[in-house]
Amino acid sequence: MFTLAKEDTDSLKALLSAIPERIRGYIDYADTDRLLELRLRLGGRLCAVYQDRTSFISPPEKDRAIIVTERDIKRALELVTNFSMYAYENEIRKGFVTLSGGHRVGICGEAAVSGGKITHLKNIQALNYRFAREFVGCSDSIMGRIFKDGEIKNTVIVSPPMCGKTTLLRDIARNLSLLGKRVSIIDERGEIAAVSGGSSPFDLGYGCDVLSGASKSDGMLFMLRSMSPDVIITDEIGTADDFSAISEIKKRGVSVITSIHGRNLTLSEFDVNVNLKGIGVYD
Amino acid sequence: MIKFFGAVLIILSFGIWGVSKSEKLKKRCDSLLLIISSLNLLENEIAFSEKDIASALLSVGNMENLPLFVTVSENLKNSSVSEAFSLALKNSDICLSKSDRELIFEFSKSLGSLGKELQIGSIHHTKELLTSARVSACEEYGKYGRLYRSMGILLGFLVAIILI
Repeated sequence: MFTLAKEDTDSLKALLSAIPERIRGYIDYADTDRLLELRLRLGGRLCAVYQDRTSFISPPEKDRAIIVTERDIKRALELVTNFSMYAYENEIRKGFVTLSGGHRVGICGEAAVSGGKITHLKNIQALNYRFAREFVGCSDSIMGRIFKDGEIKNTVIVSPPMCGKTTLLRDIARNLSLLGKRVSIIDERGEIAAVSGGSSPFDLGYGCDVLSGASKSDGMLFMLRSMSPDVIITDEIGTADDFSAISEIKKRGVSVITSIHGRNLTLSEFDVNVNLKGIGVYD
Repeated sequence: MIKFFGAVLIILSFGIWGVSKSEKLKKRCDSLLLIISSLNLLENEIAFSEKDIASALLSVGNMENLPLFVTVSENLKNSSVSEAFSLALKNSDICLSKSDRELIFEFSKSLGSLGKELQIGSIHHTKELLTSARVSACEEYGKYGRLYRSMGILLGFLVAIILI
């Protein structure tokens, strides 16, 4: 069943507490069971994103949607960062903050650039609350292909954004841990396992080893050395460092299950765009 | 006999008044020093541990035995940083002058809303202002502390003599 990790009330509380009070009151007018994203745009309408559509939230007694004000944006930032912008500088520079429970808040505004890199964001214009959802069992139908002949096959999940890559990876981790495999998760953005205070609000089976916050390339090599995994699971690889780390992992006989952004890639496009065949990784 | 005890009471009362005035000046010096020291720790918390502001204030408040910061940390559950400080300063019995409280309140307006570098800069600036305030406070205590103590006793004698 598709849930908002409801069993973990702390996760839901963490999410709601990061939404400005004025906006929070309007969430009930959205289809919360199917809500994927809540978008706040300065001067724009409060927007709800579902799997199959996007709509503006408005209470029935009003004939127009709720407009997001500057005060809402400011309050949202205060709540998302726990009144501690200094503690979230790195995250804001990357464009998102991960809340307890694996929910992600994307942030955009005016970028200050130095040396070709974004140093910080100012004049924040929009926030995108992305709800982390758990779908226990969503990988059951493909586990026969991932775990075959006693072996965990190297796997790359290719998908456009918002199609459930992270949800699927999480469930694959759960299934593999239930098979008794040593599963290491590199959770750079804290979305796969969303570990907080040492525990995850998601069902990870018998347990996985989770490294949160580290870059994927560094994290993969770290876990390879420290946790003797059977399989390493990480999300959205794409850099040369990522591929280099995967090449190293392959040499050690450890399987990799990962995801990349893409849509309708043919095998040859995949080989060109994703430099994995060149290092002989995927099965 | 009654007059004697009455005189003693009057002298004691004025004496205590004088001592309390003097103590208040001293306490202000000590309070300012405590806050400056707490800001040093807060700076370290922000620079190195990257705790959120509520946790940082609670940690520093407990370490330095500064109830003001502990109260602000609790107030943050329901209000913004500046509101939390305003409420805490209003209800705190810490010995600070009106200008000291305003200074701390002004500092609170930017606390948590700046990046690390700017935040630390803001703390430095506030520490400088508080240090300057402390120097003045200690000078005031040096100048008037003994005066208030002596004046209390003398006034007591004067009133006792006049009344009795």
